[in-house]
Amino acid sequence: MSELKIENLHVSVEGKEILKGVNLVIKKGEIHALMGPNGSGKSTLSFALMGHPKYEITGGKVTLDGKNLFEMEVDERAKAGLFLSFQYPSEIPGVSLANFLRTAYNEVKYPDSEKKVNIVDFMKLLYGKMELLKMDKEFAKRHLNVGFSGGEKKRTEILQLAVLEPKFAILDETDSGLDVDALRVVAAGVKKLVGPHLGVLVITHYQRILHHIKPHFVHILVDGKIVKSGDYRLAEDVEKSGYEIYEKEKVAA
Amino acid sequence: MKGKSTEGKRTEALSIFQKLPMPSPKEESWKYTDVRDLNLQEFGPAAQKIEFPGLSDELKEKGVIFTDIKTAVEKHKELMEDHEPLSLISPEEDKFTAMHGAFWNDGVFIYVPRNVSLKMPLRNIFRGSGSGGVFSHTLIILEEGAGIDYIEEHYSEKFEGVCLRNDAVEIFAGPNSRITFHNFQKWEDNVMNFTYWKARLAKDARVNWILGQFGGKFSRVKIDSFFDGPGSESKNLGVFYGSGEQHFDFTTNVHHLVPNTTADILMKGVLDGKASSVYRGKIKIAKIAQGTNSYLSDHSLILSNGAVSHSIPSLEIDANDVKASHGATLGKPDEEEIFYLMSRGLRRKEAERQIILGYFSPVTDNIMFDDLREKFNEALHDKVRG
Repeated sequence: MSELKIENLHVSVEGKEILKGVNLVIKKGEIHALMGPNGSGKSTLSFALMGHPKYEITGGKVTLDGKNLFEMEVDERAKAGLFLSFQYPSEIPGVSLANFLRTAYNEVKYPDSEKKVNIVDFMKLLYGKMELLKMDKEFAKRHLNVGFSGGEKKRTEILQLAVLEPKFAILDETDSGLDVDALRVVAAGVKKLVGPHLGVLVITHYQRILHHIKPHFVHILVDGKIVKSGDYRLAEDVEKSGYEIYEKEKVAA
Repeated sequence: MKGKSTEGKRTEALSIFQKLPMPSPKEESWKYTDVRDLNLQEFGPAAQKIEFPGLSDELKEKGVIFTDIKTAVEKHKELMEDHEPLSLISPEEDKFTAMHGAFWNDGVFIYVPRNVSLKMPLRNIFRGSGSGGVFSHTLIILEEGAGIDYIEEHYSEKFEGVCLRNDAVEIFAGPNSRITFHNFQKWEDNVMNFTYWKARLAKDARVNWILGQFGGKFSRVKIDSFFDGPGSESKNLGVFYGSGEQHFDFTTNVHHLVPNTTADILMKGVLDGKASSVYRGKIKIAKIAQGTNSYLSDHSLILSNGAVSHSIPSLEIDANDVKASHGATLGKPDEEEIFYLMSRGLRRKEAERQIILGYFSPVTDNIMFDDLREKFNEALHDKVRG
């Protein structure tokens, strides 16, 4: 069974410990939600898993299908099947979305071979995914994220997820900065992509995206540790009472 | 030096060449390019081949001439009456222009008659095949309303020793004429290049320079554009990519001599390894040249700690009703951008390549010929991989 396994993960940023022993196992086909107050370390977890150079792993282990993630370069993690939907994706002027995604597709699908997808076949695939996510074809020609609205950026992230077909996807605050309509569109897109072939970690501050993408498991992250795990009802509790009681528990413990 | 015979000019250039000392780094325009160790006596004529595609009968009938310059000097003297070779580029300019004046021995002549506009570009491929000196002279005369695109591609074969190129390009752009001059070079590292380009623009003429410099051990290109007629316009768009120990030295000077002329200059360089570059851009606006628009911007992307880039823009403005500006940036590729692209499966080099491809695009997007644009992109690809 394919799984992403996080064991006792400790991560520091600029010498300050942010994650203080996170344990989490995500199996293929499962949707997990990671919730927590600002500064609890949610985004740190996503960047550390993807391999951002600023995040220093000070302890613990993460494996993807048994392979040590921390022995891989960033691109190798992508090739191994990990995907991160960025909260703030970079804008890359002069590089069209279609050309970039075709390069990425070739790298991910045919990592160690000269084989490349035929342009016509790729455009067919890309337009198919764009249609699925109700995106205008014009997007393919636009420069990657340049001048995109918040909602357009998030949809483009989900489009990349759809094209690259990873085993595990981390959606880092995909709901942040979106109005209700934009959220609905993005969430509907994600909903079309989840299924038995994909494991998902939805990172969010609010519960609202979870109305659309119903998680199997919910975890509360406070001060760098998962303080409580449960099913969907845990997200409902958070909506009602906020994070305060978990923060208190943490202090009491 | 008008009125003198070609041989007379040569003799005079030779005596100037012999008289002038080698440029010293104490001179401002040679500050970052030290040529004192170069022994110019060593560079006897070297072999080069210039590929000339034939002209269509239709263009021949219209009076277009596209031939080697030696033939032109013999056969088309009447056309050169006011535009002889070396009437723009004076041997007195410096040691290298004098050397060119004394030794130029091949090159290209293009003449486009009144109101003839070519749809397809004229193209020459220059292939250096041995060590020594190469002195090519390109003379382009555009009559009123004429229009062309010209492409020069430069390559060198692998050979022992060094080839010193000392070329010159002179363009006379008649009223309302149009030319885009494309230069692309991908020499082996056995070439040292000193090139001087000069254009004079009559009323409403448009002269655009697009350059792509990737190869050579060293390459110096100096471009001067003189706006003689109101309404004339020029763009200088260049990309260069230095790696290893390559050195580039570029100068663009725009001379706004009359009212209402426009210049737009954009240079974008990438430097890796121990490569270095110097760029000088000067905007000169004469007192009577009111209504001038002149913009200059140059950018360097530095990929390694050993690479160095110098930028020396200057403005000399004597008129008061003008728009002129310059801006320069120097930086490294953004690590957040690289991380983002790598997170999609791109190896670091590939991520850098995409970023540089995008960085060059404000220049390369102006190349209207797909095959040429592709050559720029391939040269970039090879550089990143190399």
